[in-house]
Amino acid sequence: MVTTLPGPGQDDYRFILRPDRSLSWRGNLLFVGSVAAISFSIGIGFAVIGLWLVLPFAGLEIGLLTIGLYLTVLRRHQVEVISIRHDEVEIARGVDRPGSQPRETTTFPRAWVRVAYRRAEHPWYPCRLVLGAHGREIEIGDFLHVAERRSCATALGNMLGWRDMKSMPGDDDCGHRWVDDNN
Amino acid sequence: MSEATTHDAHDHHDHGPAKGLMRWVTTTNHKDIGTLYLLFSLLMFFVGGAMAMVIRAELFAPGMQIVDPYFFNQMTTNHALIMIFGAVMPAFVGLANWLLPMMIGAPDMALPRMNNWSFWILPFAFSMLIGTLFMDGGAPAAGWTIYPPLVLQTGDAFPFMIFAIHMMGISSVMGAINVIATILNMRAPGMTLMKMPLFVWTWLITAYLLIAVMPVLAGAVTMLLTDKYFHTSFFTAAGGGDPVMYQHIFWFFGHPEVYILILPAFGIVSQIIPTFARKQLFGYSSMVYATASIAFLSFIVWAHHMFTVGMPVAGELFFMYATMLIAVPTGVKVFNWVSTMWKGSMTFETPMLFALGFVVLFTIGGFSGLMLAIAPSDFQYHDTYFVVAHFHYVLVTGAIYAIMAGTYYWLPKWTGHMYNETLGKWHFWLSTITVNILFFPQHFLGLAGMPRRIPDYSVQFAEFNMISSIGGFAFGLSQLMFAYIVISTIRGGKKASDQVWDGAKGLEWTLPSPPPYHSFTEAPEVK
Repeated sequence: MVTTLPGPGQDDYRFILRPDRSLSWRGNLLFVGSVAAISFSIGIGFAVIGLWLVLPFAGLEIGLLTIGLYLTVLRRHQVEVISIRHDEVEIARGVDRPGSQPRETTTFPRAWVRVAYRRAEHPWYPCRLVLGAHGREIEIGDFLHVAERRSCATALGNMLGWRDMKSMPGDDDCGHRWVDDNN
Repeated sequence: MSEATTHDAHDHHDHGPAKGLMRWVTTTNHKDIGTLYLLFSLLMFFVGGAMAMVIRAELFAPGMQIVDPYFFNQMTTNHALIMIFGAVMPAFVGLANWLLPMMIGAPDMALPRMNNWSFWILPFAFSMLIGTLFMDGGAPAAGWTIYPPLVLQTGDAFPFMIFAIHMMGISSVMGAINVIATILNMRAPGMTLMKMPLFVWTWLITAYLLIAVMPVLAGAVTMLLTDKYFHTSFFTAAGGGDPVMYQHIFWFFGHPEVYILILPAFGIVSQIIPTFARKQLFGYSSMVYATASIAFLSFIVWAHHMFTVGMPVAGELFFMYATMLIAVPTGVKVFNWVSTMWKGSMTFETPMLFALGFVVLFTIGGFSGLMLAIAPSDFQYHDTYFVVAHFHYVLVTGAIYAIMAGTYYWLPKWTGHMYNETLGKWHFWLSTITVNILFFPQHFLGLAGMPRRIPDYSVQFAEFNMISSIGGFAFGLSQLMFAYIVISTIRGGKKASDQVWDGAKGLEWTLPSPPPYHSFTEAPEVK
């Protein structure tokens, strides 16, 4: 999902890029809590009658579930904020959670930054949206759907300028080729 | 404002999948892993099926003719373990891998690397289990329930079997975690819980059951291991342990396991019937609540498997009534499937035939289950061929029929080719006729008193056993047609449209046939 907001200055814009997410941190926490409550009740119940070896397995499993859900939620709560200001473009990455700070920030001079929307190196994969200047490049929005990437690329390209504009791939070049390869 | 490290755009792993065999070993793509699971399951179906053929060949006539009794028991034990953990469960996980992301509008499963590991554990687990057939003392032969003290007499195979079961359990748990993480967190915008396809709902509840009961199985088999090798006495009467307690702990896992094997089947049938009846599923919400009710009840009925061990009457009454209560939500489901078909514009393509076969024949299995739930009757039926007939109606004409229905239903979507409809119908009718010849007479054998897990029997049971064996061989041969149809559809055939079935609804049908390696390049629109 891409949200575009006006910035404080006249030519300032902010693009906020987020992946689809369908459950909050709290929702996940409640889920893990409810599963853990059931699993540990069963484990403790068996331990009380002497069959204590169920409990450590329940602990291991709930630990694995918690790690799995934590990693998933972390990935689903990624956020990338592209702030376009008068003289610079800042790309901040982090976790979309109240009070959290950006994990990584990159800045480019606005006059030099260019947008590229390129084929991936293999036709099975979606095209990539890249910002770059002075020989450095950064891929953004790798969690977006292709259509979202494309529209985000168009908006950013029109605002900042293009590199490789002539070779901008069409939708058929972005992850659709498997069908042909397979036949 | 810090100037942080930037990524080189060429650092990304987008060079494409590895080539040849390594593609399948290293893949993290949900479609590739789904295919691996389904093919593995098909292979195990034939391995377990071959063991069933040995069983039916031995039982063709009274007396000992082909195998010795100990090998016969190895066959019954391994047939069950392979069919349950190697054929049915991996088939459902394969279907989940292929379909869940496409049904909820996600690009892949939530934890792709774990997905790869959870599949690749299985070939090692089953190689180890099947390898026990060649060990000193033979393979485990105490039945799939591996009751002590009998199972503790197993030879060298014992620790290998326990390790194999642990590996199967780890694989199942990792699969369940992936399903839960995917469904909870990766639904497309607008795909609320009560808009999810029934297959997704049934899998979410199945995953919950798996998480709840797998530690119980792991604990139980580990305690068997420590009893045999570390001189503990969890289940050893001589040391103060209680073998009956093993039955409690096993069935506390085992009964929810039965629902783990059937709930996804309910989901598949609930996708197929509305498509070919060209009507919306009748009572969607009640289907969801019925599934959840069945899952809840599955935790409080375990002791109906052990009515004859000598329980207090109050216990028998509780477990009897709790078991009979399961008929209510199951009845709701059957009612809803029939109501969906009522006045629908029905057509009878192969997936629908298998789904209808499921509804009718699974219901027969459900009714015989109700008979077994009645404690005083169970004293008569317990450990007889009536039980064998009951659970094969539930698992073969239930779970396996649903898997076959699902395969025919989604195969054109997966491969981009239509299967041969004429052969599909032949497969259905041959299977349905022969499966009834195979299992229906076993009801009569059980009611007449023939015990299960024996290689020889009294001559009074000869005719029905012969009929059953003929049905078994014919059913086994019919399944070769299934393998042929699947393989020939993968290799080519008439091009399938994206929609495939005109009555089909759901996000997976909005994708091309076959779908691209990465689904949903466009954000899916949930209606």
